[in-house]
This record gives sequence, C-alpha cells and structure tokens, in this order.
Amino acid sequence: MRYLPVIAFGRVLKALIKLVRPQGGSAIPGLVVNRIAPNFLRRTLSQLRYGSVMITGSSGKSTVTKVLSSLLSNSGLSVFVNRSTSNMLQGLSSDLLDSVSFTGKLRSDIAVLELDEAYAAELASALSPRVTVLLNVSVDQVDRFFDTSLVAEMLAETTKFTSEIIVLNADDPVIAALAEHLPPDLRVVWFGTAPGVTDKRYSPFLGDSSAVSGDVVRVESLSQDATSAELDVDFFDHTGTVTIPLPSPGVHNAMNSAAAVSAFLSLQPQTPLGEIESAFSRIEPVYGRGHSVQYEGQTLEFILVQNPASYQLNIDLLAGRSVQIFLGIGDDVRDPAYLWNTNLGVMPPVSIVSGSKAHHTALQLAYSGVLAELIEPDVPTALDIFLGLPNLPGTEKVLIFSADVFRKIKQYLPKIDTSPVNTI
Amino acid sequence: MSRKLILASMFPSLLNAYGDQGNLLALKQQLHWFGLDSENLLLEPGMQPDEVADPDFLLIGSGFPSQAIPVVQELQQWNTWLQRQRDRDVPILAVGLGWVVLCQHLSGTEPESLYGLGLTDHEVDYRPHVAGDVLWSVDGMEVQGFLNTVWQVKLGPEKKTGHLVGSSTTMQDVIPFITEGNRIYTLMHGPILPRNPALFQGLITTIVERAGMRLKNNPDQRSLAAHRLAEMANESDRKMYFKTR
Repeated sequence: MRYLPVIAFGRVLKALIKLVRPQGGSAIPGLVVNRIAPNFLRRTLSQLRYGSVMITGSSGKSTVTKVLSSLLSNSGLSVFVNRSTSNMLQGLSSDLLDSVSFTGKLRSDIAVLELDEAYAAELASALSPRVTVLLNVSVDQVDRFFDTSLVAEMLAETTKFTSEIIVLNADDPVIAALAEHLPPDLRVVWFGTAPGVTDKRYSPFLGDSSAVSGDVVRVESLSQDATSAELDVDFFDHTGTVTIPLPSPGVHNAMNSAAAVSAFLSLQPQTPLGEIESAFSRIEPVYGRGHSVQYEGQTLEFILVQNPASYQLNIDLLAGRSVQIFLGIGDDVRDPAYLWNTNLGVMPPVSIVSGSKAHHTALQLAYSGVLAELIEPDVPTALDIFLGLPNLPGTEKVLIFSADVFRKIKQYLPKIDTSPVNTI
Repeated sequence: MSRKLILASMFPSLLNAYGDQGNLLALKQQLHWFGLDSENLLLEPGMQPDEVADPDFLLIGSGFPSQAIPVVQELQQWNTWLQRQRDRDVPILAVGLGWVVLCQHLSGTEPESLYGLGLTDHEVDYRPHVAGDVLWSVDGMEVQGFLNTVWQVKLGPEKKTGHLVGSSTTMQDVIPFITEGNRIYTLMHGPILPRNPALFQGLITTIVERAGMRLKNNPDQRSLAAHRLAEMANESDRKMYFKTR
C-alpha cells in the first residue's frame, strides 16, 4: 500500500499528458515517480516470480524482446514488457504505472526489458536481473557513443549485477571476449551463426561461433529470401534443429531469433523444440521492422533504419522489387555522416525524401547515382504526397525511416499504431 | 589523352568510423560527371608499400580514439610511402584520427602518450569529448561539418588557422580544419567534401591539373545539382542547430 499515492498521482499525470499528446508516450510520469519514490522500480520488479531478463546492445533489442516475450508467453507465463521507446529508467517506471494495481502488485511472472546500452548498467545495479542478453556492439549514434569501446565497457558493467545467466553473441568479438571476465557463478549461454552463414555487410565476423563450446543456439542456414532460418540447438538439456519463420527478414533477424531462443532455453529448459517451432509461427512482426499493413486500400511496408549494417541489409532486400519508396531521416540521426557507410547505390529510385535530414539523404543518394524524385522535409506533407501517388499494379509502397520520422508516421497514421502492449 | 586517376584510401576497413569513405565515393562520382575516369586503390594492413603506385589523391579516414595505438603501429611501415606522397604534394584529405596519427606526438592517450608518424609538425592533446555542427572560415572559404572528437590539435604560432563562424557546440579552442599545400586536415568527419562545394571543387581542380589534365568548362548538371543539395543541407543544419552565427 505504500505506493498507493505515488501510483495514483503517476496515473493522473499520465492521463493529463495523454490529453495534451494523444499519440505520444511520455516518460515524465516515470521521471516524477522515480524522484518521489526512488525504490518504486526495484521493489515492483522484485515481486516477479521468475525475475527479469534484460536485453541490451547496439541493435536488435526490440526484435529479441518481442521474440523472447512471445516464447515465454507461449509457455504459459505472464510477461511484462516495456515499450521499445521506454528503454531508459523513467520510461520503464512510466510503463510500470499501467501494469501495477493501486496496491503496487504487478500481475506478471517475468519481465523482459529492452534497455538502452547507456542505461543498462544503472538499471542492472538496481534490479539484479536474472538474465542479461548482450547482443552486439556496432557503430551507432556516434555523437553519443563516439567510440565503440565505450559501449563495450558499459555492457561489461551490466554483467556484474546479473544474478544467474549471461547470453552472449559468439560472433561479435567484443561481446564474446566478455566471457573471459565474468564472475564464476554466472552461467554463460551463447548464440551465433554456423560457419556457412556469412554476410560481411552485416558483420565481418559472422560464422565465427564455431570456436564456442557449451550451450549455444546457432543459425545453421537461411532461406533464399531470408524469411526463414534453421537454428541448431546444442544445449545441455536439448539438441536438435528448429526451422522457424523469421519475425522480419534478414540474417540479422535470424541472429536475433537465435539470441531469443538461447535466452528462452536457459529459462525454460524443459520446453520441447517442437513447441518453440510452433510458437514462432504465431509471432507477429515487430512494428516497423519490415512488416506490412493495409491502409486505405494500399499495402505499406515499414522499415526502421537504426544503423548502417541493418540499413544495408534492408535496402539490399529491395533489389529487384517493384516499389515506390518514402525515405525519411530525422533529428534522431544527429549526424547523418555515418550513414554514408551504407551503399545506397543498390536502391531503386526514391519517390520522396523526407525528415529534417532530407537534404543530407538526397545528397548521399545523388552521389550514389540514385534518383530522388522529390524532397519534402516536412513528414506529414511528404506522407500526403507519397500516399497520394497512384497505386501501380504489382508495386508496393515501402517506407524507410529513422526513429524520429517513425514517430511522426505513427502520429500521421494512428489507426495502424500497433505498438507492443505491456503485458502479454 | 587522359588517364585513369588513382584515388587511394588508407586502411578503409579500419578508418571509416564516420562514413569518411563517402568522400571517395563523391570524388569518383564528380570526376565521372566531369568525364574523367578514376579507380579506387584501397590500401590495407598487410600490403607491401613499395609495391603500391603513387596515387593522385589520398584519403586517410577517421577511426575511434581507442584505435589510435594500433593504427599508428600499422602505419609505421607505410611511413616512407606516406612521406613520399607528402613530398610529392599529393592532395591528401586526412580526417579525425587520420590527421591525428600523422602528427608528432599525442598526449593524454590511454594507456600512455604516443608518438605519431611525424609527417606534420602538429601536436595533439586528448581532451573531453565535444560534438556538434561547426562552420569554420579559412582563407575566405567557409567549411561546414560535424565535429565529434576527443582530439585537440595544436599548431605552431606561425600557422594560419581560420576562425569560427558558427557552431552548435561550445568547442572552445578546437581547431577543426586547416590546409597545408595540397593537404586538407580536418576534425569534421564524414562526407566533408560533398558537403562543401567550394572546397570540393578546389580539390578536384588541383587533382586534375596535377595529373596534367583539364576540367571541361561547362560543369555537368548533376554535379551542380549535388552542390545545391549540399548547400541546402548545410543551411538546414545552421537553422536547426547553430547557437552563434
């Protein structure tokens, strides 16, 4: 009962903010709650019977969170999941306000928490997660993380506060090296790719997991269209192969799926592999990661750009397709220079370039030999134009965007907002 | 009779943290629009410098601060080759760490201070991280870009340094850009050439004329269009971010 006034106040604040910003989430209630009740977050999450799982790293967090929470839910557990936009402390507390009773009771068995790499260690020290999944370290948000070694240090810090299991990427040399410095009472499980699965656009190290021994889930093969994968499970309790449809196409999503399966088996070792296989067929695509929706009689495909590697893989998948493209890069990409590491020369012509970095993007397209038919920095105006383009037979409309433009698209298209719910 | 121009890039697999190789892409494209052929020469660790041709242009891109020691170590065996290019006054674009490693000495690096290649007479200090947009003026030419650095390069008292026109950051006494002969040294990383048409056009002219060729008088429309896009991108950044102007 001690948090009754705090929860009531936080919910009223949330409701008031919702009146002002109906489409946008807000971390302000969480910020206020953390200020007046500093232990709210820790005490609330400590109620969970199966503890919490923390997922962090440069890229893939949302997909791994989605897949792992779906697998856990499928096994009969009630799972608390934070929204991908609430991956810092205040956002997490803000999300919890919706899921606890007025007495502070959290009606979930386990939490799967996606966390920004800069805040993961701070949260780990407060929560002592049972499992931490460390995905990768790549060039991302270079104005914040000006050296990948900084990110590696931040991720290494999280392992000090994890109580039972660390899930590591065997194909990322920085992540894999952390295994040498872990406390001896922590169990390490792995994910990676088999030697035959290589894609140097994504990582020069794919296929390097063969050196790893112990519990590991490897991507054994990928279908031609990169929409399904075969995972080889080599765990103490389990060996075998599962063939799964991927939540979104691409080798990076096969890796993300392997990470989720590895984390899942470390928590639920008795689950038959067949159940995992069938659970994957029910996982919906992660919003904005290559999923399609119907909107006013046209099919729209959404692709979120987060770093040069996944940008490259996603636009490579457009090769040979008949598409009309909306490309929007916004304020979240503070310095678009690092996106020049992506080869845009493989792109079909772009119908419209938008976002506050529209001219930067058009400049890169020009030097890559790709036609940008129109430049309109204002996102709603650009969407008006793009969605008004005639529907050509056999042609799909693809929207490629950074997170800031994604928020504006969601505000523009509220009917198709399918943000993950907090409890599944 | 024109020949293929050789555009070299030093350690592109290591020195490409911030999209600096985009400069090579843009240069090749501009030359193509001017009707000139070029080829990329990618120089990687393990290659034999004495077997490598002299280029018409050399890019030394940027890397992460933690790469300073390994990059200096790898570049040591290229020192003679690099000295030759400097002495030939080959147009060089050295960005961020690519500039810093050419200097005399780097102070405050972890785990210890470090001797650079000594190809410039500059000294470098490790400083707190600074990031933001910068508009810098030197010799009547303005250069705009994104500064994201932990380095402070110190020039001799005689050196001409330029001055700050506008910035989104409190960059204090960082010198983000200088030129020496045909060499361009910059801490503003990424596609600094395509973003700055005047700088770019001057460099292209230098490269072409050094090779004994001539640029055609009427620039290609695609070249002009790209330059206009760059100006619009820079203007947009100044409106959005600059605190001082």
